[in-house]
Amino acid sequence: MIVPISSPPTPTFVVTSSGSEAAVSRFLDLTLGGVTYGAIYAAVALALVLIWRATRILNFAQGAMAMFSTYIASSLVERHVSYWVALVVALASGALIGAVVERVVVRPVERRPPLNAVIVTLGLLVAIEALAGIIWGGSLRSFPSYFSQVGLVVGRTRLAFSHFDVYVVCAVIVVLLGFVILFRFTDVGLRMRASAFSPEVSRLLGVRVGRTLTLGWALASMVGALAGVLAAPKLFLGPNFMDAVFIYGFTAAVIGGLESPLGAVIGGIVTGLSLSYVGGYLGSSLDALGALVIVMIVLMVRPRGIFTPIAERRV
Amino acid sequence: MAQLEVDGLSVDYGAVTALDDVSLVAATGEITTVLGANGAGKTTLLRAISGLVRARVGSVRLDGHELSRLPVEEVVRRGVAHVPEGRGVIEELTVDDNLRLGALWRRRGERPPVSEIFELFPLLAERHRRLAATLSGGERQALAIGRALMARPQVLLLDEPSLGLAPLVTAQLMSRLAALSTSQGLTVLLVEQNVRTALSIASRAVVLNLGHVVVDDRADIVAADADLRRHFLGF
Repeated sequence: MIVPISSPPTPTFVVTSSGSEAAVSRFLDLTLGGVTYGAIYAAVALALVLIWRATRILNFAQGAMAMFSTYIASSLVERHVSYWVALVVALASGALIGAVVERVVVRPVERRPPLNAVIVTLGLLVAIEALAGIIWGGSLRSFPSYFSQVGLVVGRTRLAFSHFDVYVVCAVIVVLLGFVILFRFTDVGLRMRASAFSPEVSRLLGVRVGRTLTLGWALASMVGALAGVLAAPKLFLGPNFMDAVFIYGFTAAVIGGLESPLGAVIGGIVTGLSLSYVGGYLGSSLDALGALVIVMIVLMVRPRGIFTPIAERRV
Repeated sequence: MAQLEVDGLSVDYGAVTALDDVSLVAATGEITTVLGANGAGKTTLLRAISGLVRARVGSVRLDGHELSRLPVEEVVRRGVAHVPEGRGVIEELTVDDNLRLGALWRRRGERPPVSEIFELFPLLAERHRRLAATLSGGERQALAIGRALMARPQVLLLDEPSLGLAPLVTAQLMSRLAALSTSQGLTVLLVEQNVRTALSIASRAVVLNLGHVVVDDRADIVAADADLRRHFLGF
């Protein structure tokens, strides 16, 4: 189910000193907290954008697929496997799940009316969450963060930004750079771009478009799995722990215009910051509403998202 | 080197028959032009050869090797490059990327350099980092043909290359094609609305009408046949 949105907790350890200094420090904490969550939303948004670009499908099961990979990592960590091995296995399982989902479930609805794909991926979301519940149970479990989650100390102030947060932000930046390099400078990236823009012409030029799409889904789901592993230590792992993250990642992707990887990441940061400010200043029960308001404003001002070129896409 | 044979090809779109028992031969190093009114089946013929539509019956052979059961992306690997109607350049990619894409299926060492195409179409060289969306009609056509040549094909299928081009640009393009075909032994199957120009560079002409081959003869004979021109070609 999508409904119960567990809102990301806002940073609680605020250093109180006198008046304006406290206000500045609170603003800084909210900003830093927002950046970390923003990075996680960015990873989800990246996954959504990659799939949207390649197949014009919004993968509503992205969060659930990521959750599944995170459970796999969690099972390994509980058996005292190293965090890094578990991470790699989670990413690999993400890629595998993405490829299988594309081949088996999505392939039949590609290039069909968009509603077919919506129904299929929503069905997949429910199915995967149910399956995870059957295998691992419905209760929440903690997930190791590997790095300390205690805020870094700068001067005499303890920031709401830990080693783990640094790791999260760096991981997402590395992934973004990886995709930029992949798309701009490699043959595989050129094939992926060509297949996304013009599948028929690409096939005439000898591009194996079917394989390319499968690869795109695999890569996207790998990024999704990363988002799951990064989010789990902050949120506790459960069959629907990615629902809220998915919705905010979706918000980020829409803000970014669904076409541009860089837009997705900036959209993620914008969403993370906005939610953090809304939660911090207006009350944490309002941040889901905040996400809706942001999407509404963006869609009213720039219906195609902030980072989409204004020119019409010619078919 | 490379002779393309179409034998008894029939294509249906639902209940409508687009091609009915079409046979023709495009001989090595020659330009064969396919003429006919709108809806005669010219585009369908090319799409059936490259595998974009499946034939109900019939065969397409390149030097005796059957192509008609292969997926689209394999046909180009056998040496048949198809430049689709409406030019088919990928607007969101640069000129360079469009060209590179044409040879991407080849192994790294076997890909011709992009500069080869720039020698053929010098205009493209000046614009090589621009998006294909910014090119003029003639430049796009040059890009689409250049991209097909990057595959080093034996057979080139061209669908209405002169569509929307100024007469002078068309004339230049056609003379380039004629030169390419003779200098590289390239077999060309040229679908054209621009009958006069097509007949002037082709050695053989096939006229389609409602999915049937009605004429298959030397281009100069077709060009000289006033009755034929009036009936099927409208000039």
